Amino acid sequence: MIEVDGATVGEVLDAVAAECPALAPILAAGVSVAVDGQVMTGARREPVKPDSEIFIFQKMKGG
Amino acid sequence: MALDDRKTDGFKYIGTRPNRPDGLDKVTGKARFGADASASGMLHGAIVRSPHAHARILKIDATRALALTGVKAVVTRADFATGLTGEDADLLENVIAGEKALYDGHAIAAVAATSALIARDAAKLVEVTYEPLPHVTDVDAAMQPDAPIIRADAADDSVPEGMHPNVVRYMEFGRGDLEAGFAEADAIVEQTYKTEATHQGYIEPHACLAQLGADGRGELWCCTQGHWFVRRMCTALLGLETSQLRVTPSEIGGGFGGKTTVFIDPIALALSRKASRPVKLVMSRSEVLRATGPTASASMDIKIGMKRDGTITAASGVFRLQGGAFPGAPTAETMQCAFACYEIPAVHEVGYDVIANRPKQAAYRAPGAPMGAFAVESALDELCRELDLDPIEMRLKNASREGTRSSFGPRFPRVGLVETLEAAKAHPHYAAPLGPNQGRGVACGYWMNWGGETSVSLAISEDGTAQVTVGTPDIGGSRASMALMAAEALGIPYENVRCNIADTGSLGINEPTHGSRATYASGLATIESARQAIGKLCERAADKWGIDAEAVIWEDGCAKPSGPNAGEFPPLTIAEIAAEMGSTGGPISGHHEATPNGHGGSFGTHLVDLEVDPETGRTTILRYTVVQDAGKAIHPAYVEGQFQGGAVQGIGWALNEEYIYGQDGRLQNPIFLDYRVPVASDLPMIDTVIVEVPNPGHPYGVRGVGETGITPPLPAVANAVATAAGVRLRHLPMTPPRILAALEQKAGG
Repeated sequence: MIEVDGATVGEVLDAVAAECPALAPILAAGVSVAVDGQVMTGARREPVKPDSEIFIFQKMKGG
Repeated sequence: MALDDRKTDGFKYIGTRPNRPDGLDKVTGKARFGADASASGMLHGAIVRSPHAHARILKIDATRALALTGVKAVVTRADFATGLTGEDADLLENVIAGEKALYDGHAIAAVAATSALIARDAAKLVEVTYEPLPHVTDVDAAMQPDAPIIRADAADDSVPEGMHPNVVRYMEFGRGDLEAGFAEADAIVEQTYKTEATHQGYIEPHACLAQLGADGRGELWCCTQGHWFVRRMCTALLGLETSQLRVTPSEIGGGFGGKTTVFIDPIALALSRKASRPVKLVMSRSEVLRATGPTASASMDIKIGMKRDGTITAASGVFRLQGGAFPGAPTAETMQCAFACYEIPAVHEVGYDVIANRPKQAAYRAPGAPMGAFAVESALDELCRELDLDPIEMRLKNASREGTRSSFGPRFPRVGLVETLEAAKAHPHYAAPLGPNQGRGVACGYWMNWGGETSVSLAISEDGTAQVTVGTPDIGGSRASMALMAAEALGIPYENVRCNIADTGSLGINEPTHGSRATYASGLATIESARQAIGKLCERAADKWGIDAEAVIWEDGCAKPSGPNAGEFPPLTIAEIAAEMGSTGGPISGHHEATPNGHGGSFGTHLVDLEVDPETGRTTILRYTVVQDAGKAIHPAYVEGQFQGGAVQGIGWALNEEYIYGQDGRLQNPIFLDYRVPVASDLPMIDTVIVEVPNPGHPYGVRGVGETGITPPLPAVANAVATAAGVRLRHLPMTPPRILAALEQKAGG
């Protein structure tokens, strides 16, 4: 379990990469992020609230 | 994205079923598909392919091929970029082999000649010296300690120490007290399920025409789901600047995910660069099956606990998927979708991405989801039988709904699974009587859908008609859908809108038509583009009337004063404003670009009745009903077509389709005669029920509908076979020999 601060998705991802360097290349390769239930990508500027729930996934692909 | 002007009812054009704009060209043969492209001085290409599943390439000698009259160029790996890393390196390795052939059909070299016949003859004259190596094609066998190592350095950091190098990625997630959950259960099913690799089976084989000069500038015409992806991949593999290659998509005869990547396009470009002539490459069906991107095969261990009343108490799954000789099997998607339909207090999932000596898998309609659904929905059916529960009531009791924490973490927004289950329960199909050797199956499925990079322009013409320019190739009727959404927003007839698919030189980047995103994302951008154009139309009217633009509203294709205080002016039609636009400020257009993230997932419930012949093991589908949430059906006929198409492909996966490899590691069934897809005479009319639970993330409530439909058929058919034949098959496809073997095993006690 790690705790990071950030006001946007991008800030949170950067903070996670700084805290866990092993995750940095995986995050850099592209991930999908869910903020409060909405799965999104290319969303580094999306704001997150102090109580937002964030999940990080492998970047999704569809057919 | 803020959707400040959502509309979910009171539509004039949305929900109607007008003729498709591409229909006439397609039925009269005028539509131009990939193989229809031609150019002056054009050469024809042919590819030399590996006859080995796994072999070191010792030598390639093209002397005899080059000596053949008419041969203009031969390319090998040496003609492509060097120093690539990551996905680009894998892509190049798949497009044309480097040091090793990694599967039967792997491209080794290519020839360009003045005719297709000469090119094929020349390809046979390219002498390749191989050192055959041990191979493995089965996912479970590829993970065994004694399995041959396919690529020693393919695994990433996620793989635990001690695993075979063929395991290239490891995933794990879960929550809750699994042990307590299973202890609480009155019944537990714990079984292993397997699915085989299948192909998308698109009717049109891959085809392209490439022209690339020594100055690094080129053009490419090809059939693809996403030409910006093609541009990026080709330029990376050839060491070109991205903007110097212009890619134009043809009409497309199906893709289903399989045309979101490249196979022959970089080779055609390399041949063109070397020969200084345009080069056309068209795959045969055998090449398509051997060397494009089928789906992964899967082996899955599922454990589910259930109370006597049908409540699911705990679930776990181990998912092993092989995606060919490269990382990228859709294991994560399998895991996310497998248990997504249900609220489960304790769940744990483990996934392995495994490589084997098969072609690099590509996306196939809800990639990964059908396999997981087969395993989980089959296990749930087994529990329903053990506990004597109605399969729809059990699913309603556990169904995911708004606020449910999904098995993969996030809570669901407004979704429509319950509505599809209720509609299936109320459908006459569910109460219809069954005869001897007949059975009924029920299953649910989910796909999360996608937004993606999107750029759209809309221009008003001088006569008040409109043209919409999108970057998502029209595979399933998206031009009609875009025209309907533009017509609705502008308040003009559907026939007054024409939608075109732009080349890569005409718009910003667009992701492919994949992830069920085109109607959602390009549609959203079309509506926003129309709204931008409407703002300009209102400004022109305001200028003409001498009032503020804010005092003008747009209704039924006309600018009108917003009220008595704005002044009394007769409405100005779009045609009247457009006729004067050259002298009132110039062209009127709208443009929108975004990566919209409000795509809502789509759930579906399927019912199937079938009959199994106990003497032959043949299964006949008698009746099939698809119930799925579309959010809002823009063109219902196309939505129904997507539902039906998904069901048909899923039925094929369940009953007949599979990649069959021999002991030598070569594909045994690389033609449609032996790779058996369902045809019209195999099937009844697929009935459809469109459920509409509007997606809050789209101006008109659209959810993608293209992929969910292939997910439930695999388990629905298996569950019906279990009733009809009295045997549970946990390995797809359920071919007549497999069903007969199960019946014989049962009879033998």
